[in-house]
Amino acid sequence: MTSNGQKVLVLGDGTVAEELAEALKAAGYVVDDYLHPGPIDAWNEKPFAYLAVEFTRLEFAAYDAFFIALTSDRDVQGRLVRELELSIPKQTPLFVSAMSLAATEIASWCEHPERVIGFGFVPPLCGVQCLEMTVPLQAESTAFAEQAVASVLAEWGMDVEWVQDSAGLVLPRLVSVIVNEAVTALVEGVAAAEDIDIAMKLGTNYPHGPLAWADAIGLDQVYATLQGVYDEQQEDRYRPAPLLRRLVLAKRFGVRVGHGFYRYKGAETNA
Amino acid sequence: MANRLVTTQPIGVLGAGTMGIGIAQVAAQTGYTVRLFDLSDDVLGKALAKLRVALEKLEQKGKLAAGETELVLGRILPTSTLDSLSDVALVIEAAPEKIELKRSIFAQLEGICPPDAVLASNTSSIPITAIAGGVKTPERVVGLHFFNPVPLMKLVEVISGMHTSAETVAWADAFATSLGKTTAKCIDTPGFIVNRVARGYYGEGLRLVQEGVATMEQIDKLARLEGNFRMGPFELMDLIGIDVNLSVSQSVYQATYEEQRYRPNPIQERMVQAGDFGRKTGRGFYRYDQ
Repeated sequence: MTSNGQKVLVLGDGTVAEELAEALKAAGYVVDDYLHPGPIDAWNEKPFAYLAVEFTRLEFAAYDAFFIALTSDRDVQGRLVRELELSIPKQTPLFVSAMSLAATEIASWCEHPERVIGFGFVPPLCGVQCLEMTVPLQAESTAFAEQAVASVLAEWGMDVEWVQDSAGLVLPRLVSVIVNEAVTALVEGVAAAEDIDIAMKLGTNYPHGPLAWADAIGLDQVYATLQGVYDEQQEDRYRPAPLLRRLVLAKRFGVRVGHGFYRYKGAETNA
Repeated sequence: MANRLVTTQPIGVLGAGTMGIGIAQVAAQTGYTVRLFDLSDDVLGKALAKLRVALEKLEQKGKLAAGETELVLGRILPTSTLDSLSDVALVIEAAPEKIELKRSIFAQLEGICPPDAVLASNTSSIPITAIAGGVKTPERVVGLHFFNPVPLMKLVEVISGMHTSAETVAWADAFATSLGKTTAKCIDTPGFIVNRVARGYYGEGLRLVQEGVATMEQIDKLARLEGNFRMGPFELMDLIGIDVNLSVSQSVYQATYEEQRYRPNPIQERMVQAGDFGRKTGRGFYRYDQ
């Protein structure tokens, strides 16, 4: 792959960050990635100690943009974002996943909140033609963000739709709510996972069965989206199904670990 | 084509509305003899005339073998006498969604159909258990929920009521499979699988618009280009009919003792009040007049 001359850093803990790093590499970006295999527990100091050492070696001014996509709890996200953001030049765009927390909330932890740009997409990224982008309230206008998208992401060739900031944005929230209902139906014994998935694909033309889709998105991401929307909206309709949380605690994140609602051959299983 | 028939006896279809004639069509195309019942000879005549036009069109396009139209129509035997369902192996009821009507139909069918015939309902919103509650042999009552348009939609939900026997479910499942359909088995809960799990697609779409997160055009675009849905929630509501969609929402909401996540959205009701049902009226979330 010939380089397009742009250099970015991707920091994350789930499928979204993994797919993003992969797609940017494929598009010719030089990508440095720091990918934790799953949500980081608040008591786990290891990743922070590791990053602290790494950050002393990095030449932050050499990057055109930084990407952060986290599904960890809010406090952990806050710590990671603060540590990175303090190190990077103030005019460099910082793209953050707004798929669990609103961009405004993430920006509120930053020294320079006006350079924060929220993004979202629903894996699997290979079929995605359009990303969602938003700016935090602190940015006041989309001018900087649009300029950053034009200069940094042009080479990727992704269509971008600007929406208003809100936890979970549009499609991540919409798909997560459908998944949550499917999980609830599964738990209630309404039907087997395979029957639920085939019904939604053939009965209403969904591109994937909701449970198989959740495995592809990462159950940690689906859970984080629902919890983030629930926290922001304070409405029962977004309360994550308890099974979803237990699966995340058991590290059954889905396709990327070989086990979620289904098992996947050819991959190592964590559970 | 040549799916193996699960019975050589005729099957009965009760009601010659959109769903009933669709079910009769796929059964007859598979090779079953169909007794198509409707109270009104006029409804029967019109439904069969419409079916003839549709089949002839398929034949012209080469999607149906030459001469097949006559063969298929020849297998559909219209009747306005319920007693003529006395020799069927299965009857699929596709009458209006009124619980008292369905209970009275099944009570009559129980006395007319052979004692081992499977009694199925194509209901999308009435509990199978409630329909079976009025008959003496509830173990042979089952849900066979087809989707509109029946010839195109691959799915059939096979629903077990509280007392439906495993044999009945297996037979109904084999029958639906013989029609070339894929089945999803589920138990008798509000909205079954599809009408329940799909509620959020419409409900969240409407909420996102209300909250000003995105416009309906943006949401539809993102659903297609980011999510790979064939249609966005607003396009899909316009296709299904906003009135039909609202009534499904209301039925799931009521059947769950008003579980708040199924609560219909006032926007839907307002559009129905305005007569903007979607494509079929020329105006819904989008305009279709010319």
